[in-house]
Amino acid sequence: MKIAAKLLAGTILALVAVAPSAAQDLPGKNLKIAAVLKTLANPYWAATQQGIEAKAKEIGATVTVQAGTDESSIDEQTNIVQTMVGQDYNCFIVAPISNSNLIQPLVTAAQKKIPIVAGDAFDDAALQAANVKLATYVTVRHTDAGKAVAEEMVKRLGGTGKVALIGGLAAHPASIQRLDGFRSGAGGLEIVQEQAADWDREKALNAADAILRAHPDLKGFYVANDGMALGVQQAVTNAGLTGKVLVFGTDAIDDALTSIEAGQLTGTAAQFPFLMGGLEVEACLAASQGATLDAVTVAPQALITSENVAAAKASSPQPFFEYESPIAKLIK
Amino acid sequence: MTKPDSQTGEANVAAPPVSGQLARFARSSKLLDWAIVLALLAVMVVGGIASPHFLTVANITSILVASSILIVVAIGQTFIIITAGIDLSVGSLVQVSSVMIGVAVTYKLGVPAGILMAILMGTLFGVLNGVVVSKGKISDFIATLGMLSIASGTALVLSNGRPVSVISPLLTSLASGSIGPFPNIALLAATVAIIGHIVLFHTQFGTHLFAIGGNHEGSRNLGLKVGRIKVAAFAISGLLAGIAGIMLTARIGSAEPATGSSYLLNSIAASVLGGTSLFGGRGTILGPVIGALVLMALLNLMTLLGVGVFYQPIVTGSVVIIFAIAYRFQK
Repeated sequence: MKIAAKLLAGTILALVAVAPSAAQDLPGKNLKIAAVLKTLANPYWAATQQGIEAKAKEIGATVTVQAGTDESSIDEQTNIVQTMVGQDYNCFIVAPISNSNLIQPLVTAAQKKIPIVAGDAFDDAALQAANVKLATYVTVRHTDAGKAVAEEMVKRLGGTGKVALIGGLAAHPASIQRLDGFRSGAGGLEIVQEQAADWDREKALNAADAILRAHPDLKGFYVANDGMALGVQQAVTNAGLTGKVLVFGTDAIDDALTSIEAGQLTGTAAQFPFLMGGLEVEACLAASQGATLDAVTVAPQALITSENVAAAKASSPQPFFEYESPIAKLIK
Repeated sequence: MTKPDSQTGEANVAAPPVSGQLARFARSSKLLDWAIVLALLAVMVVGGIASPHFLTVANITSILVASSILIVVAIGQTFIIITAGIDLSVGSLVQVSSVMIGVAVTYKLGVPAGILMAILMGTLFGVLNGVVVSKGKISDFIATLGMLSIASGTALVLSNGRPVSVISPLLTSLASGSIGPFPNIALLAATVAIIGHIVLFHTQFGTHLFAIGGNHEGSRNLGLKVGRIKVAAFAISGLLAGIAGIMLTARIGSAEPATGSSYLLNSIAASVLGGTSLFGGRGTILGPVIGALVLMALLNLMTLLGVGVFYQPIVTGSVVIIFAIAYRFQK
């Protein structure tokens, strides 16, 4: 037991992180931000974390970023927020794994009028029932991503052809909105099949394999995230159809950009999680200064194909185009 | 933990002869009986020194709330482990019970009906576990591993893989209400613990559970209805998983088909930390309760200190293994 206690104490002490010291005379020097994201095992949220930390450093704020172990660690994430609400943070950035799991622990923060910035969707009805108000929700319009891909496909295919859609989890709002966006811009394209592959690369590969057999004249796929898109591309490559069947993904993760450069994946609808993390920190600063933010802060996105992939990679993790933060002008 | 009121089975695996002062010391003293209590104190002291927030009322309340669900599942698990069994299906039973509330909301039956359905579903799966084990004469390990898959599949089928938001004043008061300084959800866990203690130590059924775990064949020869007692133990584990499913739904505000998996490992861990012997015949209720508190206090402390979540399972696993080894020296 004594050994156990010593080992325990040693382990904990060894793991204690050294707190960074706050810079002087920067606008955010009194800001102490708690950020709880979905899971850092997902590159998207890892990039968000980098963006949050970079912006916090720039404005002189301190920030602690925590996250669940994986995309299903719902109650673990709830416990993390509960623990952090009990500390002296004066702004929360939260990306809930389910759209309601963080509401209950955030009630205390809301009562203390601590600004809460959302990095992913909350259930509006549950927010209202619990009397929790968000400072703003930083997001992209997912429908725009799908629509941009559809328009590019229409252009490349000359307006007609059979295409298939691969979504994430059946009821996931981002997946639904991306595919809806695609349909709205699809024009004369014929959507022959739509399949949910649960954000899983292998499931997407198997689904694409079956679809290619069922529709030998298929011209393209739109896939709701890049992990799955790479699985679909693998199926297309296996069938010897690279270049003949277009594959578009969503998110612009590094592997996808590499695949585009290698002439495999056709393109991807990019979001800029690094930039969104920065926007979330700016939202914290503006809200803590008393500014009123829009309910939704729309972040930029862009379509990346072989034509601009080099520029996109060079400027990563920042966007490869000029972007003016709508929040920056609210900060004193 | 061999508390004065705990009962020791005949067939406990005797600690092998160990050389070394530490082992002799551990065996000759009652230190190990209190190991988990000392561990909780150690975590409190280390935590108090490492973080000024750790020993605040708000944070201790957080730990109690976060531990409540695990405590309930771990008590169910302990009932099974005392009979020298194991219930690998608990996490899935929590999941499928939670989903029943979602089903009740989807079909507009109301949340109270859903709560009843959750309890029934958990108990039903528990009984099924017990029947498969006792009538099918296969090991608990395989029976409940199969049930893990069946229950989690059932949860996906019933929910269609979709989470359902559950907004109910009843569940909100369970999740965030309190009586005096004590959160309701922790009071529910405490109630379960007290009833569990009474059933285990002050009923004939409890005595039979220890007897089966201590000496399976001997109990049968004495005329105990081993099969029925096992079914009842699994029914209790299932019932408590059902209650945990309700608590989880209240806490996260929705019925989720893809959560609850962490309760399998953590319930066994809390039970083992609390001194329940995996060979059966020995255990308490208080031990696993404190075991669960230690696990959650450690996670809480690591969160306070900003230790990345990826390190947390490593620490949890190490603590469990260290304790399991330490308990080998128990008399």
